[in-house]
Amino acid sequence: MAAKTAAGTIEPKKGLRAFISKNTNLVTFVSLAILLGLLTRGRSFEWPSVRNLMIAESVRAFAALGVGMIIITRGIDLSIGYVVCLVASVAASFAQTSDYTAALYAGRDFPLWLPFLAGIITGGLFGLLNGVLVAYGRLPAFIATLGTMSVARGFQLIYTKAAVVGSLKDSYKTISQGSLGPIPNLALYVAAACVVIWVLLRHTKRGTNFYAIGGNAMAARVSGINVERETVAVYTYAGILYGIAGCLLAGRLGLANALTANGMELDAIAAVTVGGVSQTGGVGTMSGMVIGVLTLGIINYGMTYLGVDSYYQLLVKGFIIIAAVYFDMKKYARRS
Amino acid sequence: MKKLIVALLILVVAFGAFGQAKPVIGALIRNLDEQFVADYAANLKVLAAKAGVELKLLDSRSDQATQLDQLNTLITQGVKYFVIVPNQTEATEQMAKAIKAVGGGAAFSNIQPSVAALKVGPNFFLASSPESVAGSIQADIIDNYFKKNPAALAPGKTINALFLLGQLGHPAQKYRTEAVKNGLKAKGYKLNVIAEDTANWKPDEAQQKMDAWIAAYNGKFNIVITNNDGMALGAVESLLTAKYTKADAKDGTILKVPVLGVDATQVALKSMAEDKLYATVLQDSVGQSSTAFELALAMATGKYKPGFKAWGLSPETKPGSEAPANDAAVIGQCYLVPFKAVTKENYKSFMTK
Amino acid sequence: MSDAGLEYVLEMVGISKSFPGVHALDKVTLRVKPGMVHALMGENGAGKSTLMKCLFGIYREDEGEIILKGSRSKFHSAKDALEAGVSMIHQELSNVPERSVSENIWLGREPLRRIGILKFLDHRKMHDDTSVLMKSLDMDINSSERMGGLSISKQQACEIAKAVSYDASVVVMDEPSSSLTETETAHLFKIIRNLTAKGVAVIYISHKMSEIFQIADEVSIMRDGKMIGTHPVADIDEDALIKLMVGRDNTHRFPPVESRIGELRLQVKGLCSSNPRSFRNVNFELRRGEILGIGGLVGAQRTELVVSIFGLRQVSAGEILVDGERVLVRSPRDAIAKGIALITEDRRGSGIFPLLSVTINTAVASLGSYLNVARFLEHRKIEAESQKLNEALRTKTPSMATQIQNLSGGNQQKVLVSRWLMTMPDILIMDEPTRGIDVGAKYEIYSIMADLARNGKSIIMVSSEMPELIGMSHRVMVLCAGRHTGTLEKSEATQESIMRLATQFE
Repeated sequence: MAAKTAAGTIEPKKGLRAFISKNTNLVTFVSLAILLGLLTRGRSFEWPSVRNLMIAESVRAFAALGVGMIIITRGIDLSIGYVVCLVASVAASFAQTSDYTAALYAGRDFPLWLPFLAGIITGGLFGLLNGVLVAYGRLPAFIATLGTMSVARGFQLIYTKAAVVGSLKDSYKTISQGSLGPIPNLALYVAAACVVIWVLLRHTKRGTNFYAIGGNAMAARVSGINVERETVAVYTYAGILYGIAGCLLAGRLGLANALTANGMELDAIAAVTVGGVSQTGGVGTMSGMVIGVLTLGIINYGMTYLGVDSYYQLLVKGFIIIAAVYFDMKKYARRS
Repeated sequence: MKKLIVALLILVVAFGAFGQAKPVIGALIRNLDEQFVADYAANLKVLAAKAGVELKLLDSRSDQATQLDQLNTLITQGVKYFVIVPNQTEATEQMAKAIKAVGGGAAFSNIQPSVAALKVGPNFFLASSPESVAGSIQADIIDNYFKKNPAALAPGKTINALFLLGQLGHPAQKYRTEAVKNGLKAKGYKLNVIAEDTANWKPDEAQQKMDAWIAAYNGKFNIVITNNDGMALGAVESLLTAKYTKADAKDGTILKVPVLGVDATQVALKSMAEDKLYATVLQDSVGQSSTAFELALAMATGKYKPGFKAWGLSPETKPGSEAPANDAAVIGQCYLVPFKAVTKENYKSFMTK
Repeated sequence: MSDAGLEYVLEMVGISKSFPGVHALDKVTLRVKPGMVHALMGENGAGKSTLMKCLFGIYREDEGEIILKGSRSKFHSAKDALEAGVSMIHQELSNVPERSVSENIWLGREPLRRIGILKFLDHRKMHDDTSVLMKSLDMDINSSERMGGLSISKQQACEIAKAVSYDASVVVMDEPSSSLTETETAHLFKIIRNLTAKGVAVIYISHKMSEIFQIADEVSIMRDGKMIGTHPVADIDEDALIKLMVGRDNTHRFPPVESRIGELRLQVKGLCSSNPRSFRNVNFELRRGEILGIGGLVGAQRTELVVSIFGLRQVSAGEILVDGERVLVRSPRDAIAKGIALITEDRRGSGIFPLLSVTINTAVASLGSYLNVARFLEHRKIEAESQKLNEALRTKTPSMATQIQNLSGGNQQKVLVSRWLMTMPDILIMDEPTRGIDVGAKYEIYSIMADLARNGKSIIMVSSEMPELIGMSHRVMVLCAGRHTGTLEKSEATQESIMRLATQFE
């Protein structure tokens, strides 16, 4: 942070302190990684551990990138968990082995692209619905997505008749569970998504519009930005990312049911907040979101590794979310 | 500041994490919020302490993805032998394969592993009482009740039932419900579902649902079937409030219709002692956890050989009707822990003093 | 008053305050006499607000002391200060719009009535006290009216009344007339004279020269965090004052506007707002190279008119022609596409993106023109063009990547002008272009306007400052309560002629 001088200009701080205050999320992540390394006597730096972390956080990363963009526009999305759950169920239903008698479409063998297409369309449609409700229906995002969350859950139960959608084809599962050399496929997909999101946020007009809308929606409108259309776009993009997340999650678990991905919205929102995406809108980067996901991931991983009781894990997670939002508010909500 | 807080928290919880070279058993537990699973985990801790084993017990909070992550983490820590209460049958094969890859083994409880999971290797076991058995036992109890009180049946041997279900999609909800319905039909009853809805395992939600149903279907139902004791007690409470009672308890309950639960919790047993709840089913958490633990310990200490007796139980020898104990290839890996009907006749023996 | 015997009611002696890297205040001394209006002047960033923030305990000064009514005082919050008799009327109003006038005035210290052990709000007493208060200040405000329903000037009057109700001995007014019309300002002055007659000292912060000479008894001038001097107003003239403030000669307040008026560019015919209480049947035209001023009192619907032309509000009738062609403007996008730009009056609310960089703030409205074949942004071109424009306007910023919230008001305004110049508009609408900007920066904004007009741009300038309207416009169009009451050529435009049209109520 820089101090405001009388002349209305600022003197940027230099050196290590400035680096830390500018890159709090990165510094937090690195210090946690080192701490965990010490506690596990170096084991957490070994490749199998790193690999586990990447696999564990991949699906969440997709959700976080989606909701991160939404928060940049000063929105919020609570429907993530159940939308991902519905998508996973839809995708799984088109990827069941044809000889599985309890399959939703027993005896049918669908091509491998169909579950992905169906899943991504499902996710995209829910995103579109969220966007339309927020932008044109003028519903607060909190309420609109709370509603669609319930709708997604309802559809999931109706579609699956509350049953587990299991027995997925090996070829489908390999897409999620496979590896390219030592690197898990899931990590590669996340990397690809990161590049796309980075280009979107950094190098397109639309990305800049997202920041503008989050920063000052009225000024954005005056500047000729179609605030409604861009809002629909950001929720739809997020929906598509949830779609990919759901498809990959089904492949990773080899099944989907009503409990799949429950509560993922909390993890995703917490991760991007820890990663420096501000609830005040207009602030956040792709790399920050990923660092946030990894930070929460390393905490989860560390606590699991150290055998911390699950109830304490919830406690720690809660504190982290509160602390992250507290510091975020201190940083950005000072004006006014 | 932020990182300081986090670091401190981690340090605090990390204390005592520096272990020692005892046999290590990993316990992957579905969800400690459920009474049965909590009892199961508690007994594991007791057994581990007695046997001098380091137990790494992790709760996945109903999330299969979390359970997979936990499994992977324990494997990188060098843990090879596991006791697992899985989230879904369909996920067991993948977990078994991951354990097999490091030359380990596991015993599955509560939710059955798939046949394919047991076929991954001879070191994978069923140590459980399939959920559907609980439903079948409920059907037996109901059959007994109507045999003793045929007047309570609607014309045409019809049962008009209200169903209070657990969280939709939960394996226990699904299998218990299916089994009780199929069991009643198999015994020649005409089952007429007046209403069924989820109360998410919770007494308060069950009570609300029941309040509404009493108003809507007064006199039109002759039994209330629930997936667990919590909801059963909620329904009992609602019926009492609505004065849906009769003068005597000759048929075993002062309520006009019998209410059935599953779990045999202490509160439920007390309710039975007061002639309110009609009956429940005991899923034996001690039996299941002891069987699974003894199998894992035997593997970890190299004492396991085929035909090993765990918690006094021998593995099955003849394939039965339910998966995975219906496949001759893996029947020697299946330990079936019996379910017990808890009725007026025997409930006192389950009460703790 | 008890402090009548003291020469000064408030003394701030040798106040210094520094922030990392800068001396915001350097041994500043300010002495205020009771019963006087003490003007505090200086360019934005001179340290006036910092000094006042030290007074109210929002900042803690590094050295120096504050002496109120002869005793050393230290306030920790605005509430502390209020209770000690020092109150502040802010530029931005801070009231509870959904509550009544009297509830606002007695907020936090409502009179209570006891019935047994229970306490109730004494609404009648609150109402009566307010009425008495209003009467004593010669204010015509109904105490039971909803605060949010009052005009800005009346809301401000309520704030003053509230200060008086605390028995204030010093009242600080920060740009109180910035959103007031001339008559409202005149009324404000009457209220101020009422206050001083009661022995209250008023610290009056303003950029408006004319007001200082009308109302102030003494004037203190600050520059670059230092106190330059305190003078009786009678001993100083406007030019001298400006010289002290900017530290340079500034004899010409307005640059010459030497543009060639060309062909017809914008015609507005019979335009009616869809809000029946706003403007109706407005006709005017605008030519190439022309600056058209729009004057009027608060409530004349000037802003409504220009935002409607820009497509931010609905119109119910009438047409807009650009270069002789009828255009349909349903959103700002349509307007921008037709070469119209609007710099809104509310810089914070609808102008800047506080957390975004100067570059993005400049380029946000013209990103569509900086896409390469792959539809990606051409960052280098965008940065170069933004920098070029801001340099041309002499925007002072540490770097183009600085968050715009860290710039002063005048520099923020220049960035907004750059934003709209980047869209290459033919018609630039500027709503109160110099509001809240210091004298030096004002002149620069005027020069920019003159340059634009010379280069053939057409400008519509909405302004509440008469000298600005007269000094900069080729023609002045005047509205009164939503009606177009007349247009004056430059030669006819005087304060009186404008005021006559602005007050031509039906």
